[in-house]
Amino acid sequence: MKTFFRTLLRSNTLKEIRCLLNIRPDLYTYTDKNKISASDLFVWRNDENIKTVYVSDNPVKKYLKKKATINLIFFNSEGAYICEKKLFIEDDVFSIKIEKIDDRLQGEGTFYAFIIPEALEFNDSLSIINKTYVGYCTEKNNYSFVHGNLVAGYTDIENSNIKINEVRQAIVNVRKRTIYKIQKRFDENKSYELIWVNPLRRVLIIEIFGKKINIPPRGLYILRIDNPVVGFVEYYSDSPITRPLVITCRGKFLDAQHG
Amino acid sequence: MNYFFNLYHEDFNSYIDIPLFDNRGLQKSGNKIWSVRIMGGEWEYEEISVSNKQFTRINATEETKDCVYLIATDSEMERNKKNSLIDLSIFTDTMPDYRCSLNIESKLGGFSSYQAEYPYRMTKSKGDCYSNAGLLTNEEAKKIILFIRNIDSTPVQQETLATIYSNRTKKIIGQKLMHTNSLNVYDLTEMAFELKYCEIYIKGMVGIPIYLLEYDGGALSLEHTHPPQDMLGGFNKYKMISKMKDKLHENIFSHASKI
Repeated sequence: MKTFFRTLLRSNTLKEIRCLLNIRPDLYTYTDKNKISASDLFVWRNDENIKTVYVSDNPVKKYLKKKATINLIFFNSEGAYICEKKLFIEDDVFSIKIEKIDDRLQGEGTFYAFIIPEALEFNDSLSIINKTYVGYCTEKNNYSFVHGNLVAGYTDIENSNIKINEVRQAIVNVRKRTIYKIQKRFDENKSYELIWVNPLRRVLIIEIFGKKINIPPRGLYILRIDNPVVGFVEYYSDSPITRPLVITCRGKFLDAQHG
Repeated sequence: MNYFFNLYHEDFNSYIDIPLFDNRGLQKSGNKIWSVRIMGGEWEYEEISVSNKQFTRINATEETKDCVYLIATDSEMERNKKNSLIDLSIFTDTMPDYRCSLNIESKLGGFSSYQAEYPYRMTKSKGDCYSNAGLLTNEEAKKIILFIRNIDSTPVQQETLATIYSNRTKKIIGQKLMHTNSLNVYDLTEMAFELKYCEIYIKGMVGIPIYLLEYDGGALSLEHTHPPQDMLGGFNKYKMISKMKDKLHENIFSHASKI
């Protein structure tokens, strides 16, 4: 009986209904799709203090033995489109320095990275979930790497006209005021940047230190905290899963991790 | 339930900060932190003194490098068994995931951290460990250390072999004995220029591969690779991963010549 109800709850139609009614919603609703390339909404920085590199392996070469391209699509901190770049990838592992892509990439923003196979055959049943690594550095190439956090968009890899479909994150789309207490100790002798990105189709609201922040879709917000005295940070958001990227600085050293 | 662990290396200072609150800020009365280690072929549990209501900091030492830690109350601990790890507490079963901050510092002041936990379900997993060695390594680093942490439900430290295989030269470029229920440390620095072509394979042991980079000047990067199933979707993903591992296994044990 238990197995029957479990199977019933996992059926696609009921899954849609569960998510709509917020009854044990799934984190993602895209995972049953096939032949898609999905990507996190990564954070890029390019200023006098911090540079960014994107690093990934090449699942198309590894699993399908085929050629592939990567399509990088950049947005500014307000979520407005800046540019995109399509690159052929040949190596098992490749890295792309964001500062070298386009002169318009100054400051900070977000980007998708979709890996697309050159051609698929009928039997090539593969979806790529790109939540690989972004490295941030203060000095020449001493990158601190952090992996992707939350898949945010996908494209149909058989469609040559790439259209971004935002991932229907059932849980995150629910508008529910939620507290999040970052499980990281904030030390007095360091400074921190908390960076929230908005992977949703609507404005994301963050409330922290009595301030209300509206983050537009595909945008980001950076909050700087110098020498914290309390030791921990908590905030409210109107979406249950909004963990910030945390960049920690002390002197010339930098570290990036998920909060 | 999650286990937490430290990274011990004589050249670095390392510690974990275990939060006593979940990511909604809730605490559970009576929760304590316990260390778990193998003594005389059995699991031995010991209470750790808690100095702070928010976080407990545990420094890595050579004596405790194989210890793992968990959060549970006295009454939950009454269910523990000496011959197998038991899922004792649901306190750390949260969405988003319960995190513990694993920190490492260089002698020159560089630091890095990642949000580490070892899920209970992994202690029951049987399989092989696979990691792309090129993703989180960087030939410009002056030191590259791979930590592989395994926690297995059975209180034994079973020996197995980790192999680094180059897809470029079709050769094994390194092998090292590893043990279950241990923190395994492998210095990859001498292979730095070949690692971008390499895969790491450990037969019969699952685990979390964590890469530490130290750059000139002391900056550090600490991050883990994901298992292949986290990066792929589609109907055939497990079949494809299995095929990839079988091929790698065949390359390593049938055709490769060791340098």
